[in-house]
Amino acid sequence: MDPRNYQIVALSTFVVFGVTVLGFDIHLSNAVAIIGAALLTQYGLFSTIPSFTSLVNEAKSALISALSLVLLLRTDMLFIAALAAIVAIVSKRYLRFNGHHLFNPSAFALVVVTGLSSHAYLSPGQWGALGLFAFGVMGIGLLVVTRAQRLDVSLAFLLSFAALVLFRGWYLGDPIEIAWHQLQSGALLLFAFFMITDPKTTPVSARPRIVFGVLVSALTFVLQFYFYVSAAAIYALVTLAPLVAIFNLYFRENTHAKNDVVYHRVAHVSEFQQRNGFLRFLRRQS
Amino acid sequence: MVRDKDRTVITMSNDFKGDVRDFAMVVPVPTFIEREQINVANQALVDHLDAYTAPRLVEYFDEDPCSRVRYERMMAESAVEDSVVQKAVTADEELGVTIEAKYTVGEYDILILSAEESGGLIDWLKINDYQLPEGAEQVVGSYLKQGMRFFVAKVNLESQLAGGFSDLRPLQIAFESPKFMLPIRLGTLNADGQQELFVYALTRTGRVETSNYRTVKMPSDVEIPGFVKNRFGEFYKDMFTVQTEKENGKAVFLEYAWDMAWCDPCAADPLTATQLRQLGAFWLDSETDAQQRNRPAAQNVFVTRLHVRYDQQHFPDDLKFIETGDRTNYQGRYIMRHAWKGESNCSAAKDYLNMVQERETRAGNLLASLTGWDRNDIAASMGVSALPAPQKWWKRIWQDVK
Repeated sequence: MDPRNYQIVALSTFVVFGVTVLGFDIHLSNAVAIIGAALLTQYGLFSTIPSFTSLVNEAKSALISALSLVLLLRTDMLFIAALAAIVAIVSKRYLRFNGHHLFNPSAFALVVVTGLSSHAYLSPGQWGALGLFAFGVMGIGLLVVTRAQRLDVSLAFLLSFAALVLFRGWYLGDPIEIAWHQLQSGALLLFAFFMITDPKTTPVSARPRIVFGVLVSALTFVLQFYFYVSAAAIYALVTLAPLVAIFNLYFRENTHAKNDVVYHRVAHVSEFQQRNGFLRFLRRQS
Repeated sequence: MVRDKDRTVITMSNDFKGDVRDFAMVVPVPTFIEREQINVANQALVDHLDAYTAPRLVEYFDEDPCSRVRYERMMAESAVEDSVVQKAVTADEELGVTIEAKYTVGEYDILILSAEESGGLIDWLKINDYQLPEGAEQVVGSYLKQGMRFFVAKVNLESQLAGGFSDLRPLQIAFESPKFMLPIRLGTLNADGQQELFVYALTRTGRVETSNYRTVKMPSDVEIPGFVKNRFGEFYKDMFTVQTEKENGKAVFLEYAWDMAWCDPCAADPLTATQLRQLGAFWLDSETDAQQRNRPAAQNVFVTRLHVRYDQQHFPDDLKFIETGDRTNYQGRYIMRHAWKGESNCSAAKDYLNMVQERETRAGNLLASLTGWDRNDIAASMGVSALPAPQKWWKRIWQDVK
């Protein structure tokens, strides 16, 4: 089963949950503009042979970026919503290096449009505290990433971010509740499971992928606590994206397998087996 | 609180009720504060802003169902209970404590303190007769390590007498820092349970919300029974309690978000450019009131009113804010419709009476669910014998068929 199907279902669920239960300010017109613009741009730029399979294939790819934008971007201008979708897809087509697109499309689009206009903003606090909801995210997210074989980067990001936040709390002498509150962020988990896991914009082999996860968490920590940037993880991911290209050049052992998803999986799974019992266990589960 | 880019102007208003000699305020601030950055404001400014943004009660009087005369009346009432009592902390000496500056502004004596360690600062404050809540050392230490200083204000009795001020006027501080937050942790240490805090944010771009807690809109545009008019304060307070519980006590509530240029309906007149500038909206400095009157629209100030009931358990961390790009207007607006009481003997009157009865039942039920008030009490206050519970939707499907 194509892991992107899971991703589309999960993201759609979050949108519906956000609007109905959490009262997110997601306008239907924005959602239509984002999805419409993403699909049109995708077809315009990528589609070569107009076969049914290729149409569905392109639509899935565009939908994932579009749904992330629907979920995260808030704006009162339809034009900005559509622009974000176009930026996301165009970046995927033209900002490429060594056969991969450089930036996570939706993260890149969010950084661009929030930088361009104060009418575009992110609303990271609206997920509220963890609770049942986050377990939902975790469950569905875990499923998605184990299918996509990118659980390592999520865990590397989350664990090292948690370690940094706990260390800061300890250094400041704060009660543990504060660090716990800071980690109970729906936005953080959403990022860890649905954004940083994009297989095209994380390093191909496992070791550099873990390093990448740790680096993104470190930059997120610095931006959030020392530069007071909200939604810092997205900025950190976009800033560090060029590293992925560099990692892929230096760790060549698997790069010949690029674009071959099946081979990929086998290649980095065998690496886990050698190094890490826990991840090997997870592989068995999946 | 005024915020634009990295610039912040905070106006702190308290409802301190005791002897002013016992009053002291300790506020962590992110930067050093010069004398020129401090000001004492007029309480009327804050009261005006409070009235302008208050939840409003709107009354509509039904027309005679047999004629077509109609009029509307509107009134607004402030439903504000106590605002924050910043129970305070007081100070006076040396123990690794640096008094970076000492000012007298209006009726206040102000110190800007920094310290190597929290212990020193705490001891210093204790020696100087400041009463510190339990656990203050940990919190003070955390703020110091985050590079914050302490702004400490006490009332200078001589200046107060000389100035003839009976109430404590709000203190204002202007500073530049990327931190957009309100330190509430010292406040949560006070043992007397939950505290109420109202934040009025004036910005250029749009609505303000918290980035580390959910910001939730209060229920608005709902129809409630007419008797609530005399108990509006109580109604609002109870509704706030119910809403807080619904969010597990962990949400900040949005009560008003509006462009300062106008209002509809107005609970109080919009503030003038001069008043807004006195509150800290520094970007308005190029305009005089006269100029503004000629061009009444677009003050370029967006006001957000947030209301939070907090304690340590539910709000462990300080309140952190973001300014959003959202300029959608929102207000807490509660509607009461008064039925036509006159004589009506036309055929339309019968339908009208049925409609009124249905409407009032609906309003009564809504009131019960919003406030948690007892249904029998509501029925009694509405002057009806009982308040029928809302009918299940399926009961109505085949009603007419049978």
